[in-house]
Amino acid sequence: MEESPLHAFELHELIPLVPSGIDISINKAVILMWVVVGLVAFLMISAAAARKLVPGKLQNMAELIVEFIRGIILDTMGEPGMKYFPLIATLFLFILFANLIGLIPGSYTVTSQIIVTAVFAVGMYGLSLVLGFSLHGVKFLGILVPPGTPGWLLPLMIPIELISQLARPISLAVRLFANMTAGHVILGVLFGLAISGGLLIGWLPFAFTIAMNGLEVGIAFIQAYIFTVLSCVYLGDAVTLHGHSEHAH
Amino acid sequence: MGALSHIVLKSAAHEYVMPPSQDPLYAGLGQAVRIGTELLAALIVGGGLGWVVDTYLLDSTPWGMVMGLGLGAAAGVRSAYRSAQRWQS
Repeated sequence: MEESPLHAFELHELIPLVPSGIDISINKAVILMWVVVGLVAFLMISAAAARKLVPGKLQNMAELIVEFIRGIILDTMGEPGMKYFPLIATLFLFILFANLIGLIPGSYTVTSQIIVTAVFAVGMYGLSLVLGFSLHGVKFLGILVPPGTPGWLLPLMIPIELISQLARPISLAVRLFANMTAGHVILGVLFGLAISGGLLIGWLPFAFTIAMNGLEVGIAFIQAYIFTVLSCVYLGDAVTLHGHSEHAH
Repeated sequence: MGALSHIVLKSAAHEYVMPPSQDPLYAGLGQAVRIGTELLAALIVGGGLGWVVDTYLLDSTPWGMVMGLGLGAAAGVRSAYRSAQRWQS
């Protein structure tokens, strides 16, 4: 029973694939990602297929999700942000379903691998940089100067702003990764206690795992929401320059 | 699935009354998990940049990292302050 609680996060290749030195072996995380993509695509496409005036259960659910994501975009980026709706919706649904599927015992949480969250975070932040420079050119560097800064403070404020900009993708990636990993480590430790405790006392930690699993469902949703909102805020900063999202409201 | 649809339903019902960022459930939980990592990430970036300057650029150990950590702490507090400002209004 002396098993590391991090054991569940280890990945072992199932189908080794190393063409010309690049390791693209198929492991559990890759398969779970395919499952997530397939499930999201299946649910959303079949929900949109009927498109009745009086929506059924599935269509109702899909409409709520779409309305929810639309609300996030309008709230953070305003009307011009609706251009990016497909991207934001894909991001949100992938992270949400990856988080939720990971809670099924025996499956795997893709978002507990920092490389997955880092690719999303760096991708979204990189996109905001590309958008900012292509829309505003050199003027985009103005985001490094907070409005109303006196000139003599600039040598101090520019490095600080630069660091807080560079911290954005890191905090985005680490937040999702750490929350998902921590939740599953706690579940793993509690399960270990339940097994080693036996029938006499083991029911207590087992009851806690059930409560924790319920809490994790909420966390899965909130983390997907936070990741999406912050991606929208960063994109909005780049699109509107001096993003109204951070200061207005 | 029940809990999820409940959360989605609840937030969607709120949608017509107030935008999500002002929804008490999301604003509170969202800000709580947001600010902590922002402080930490800025410190890591500041310290890391200072360390890079020390080791590869100027050979100024440990002053680059000292400066970097200071600037990182300032950046972290600043972005946390900005998040809190957004939350308040």
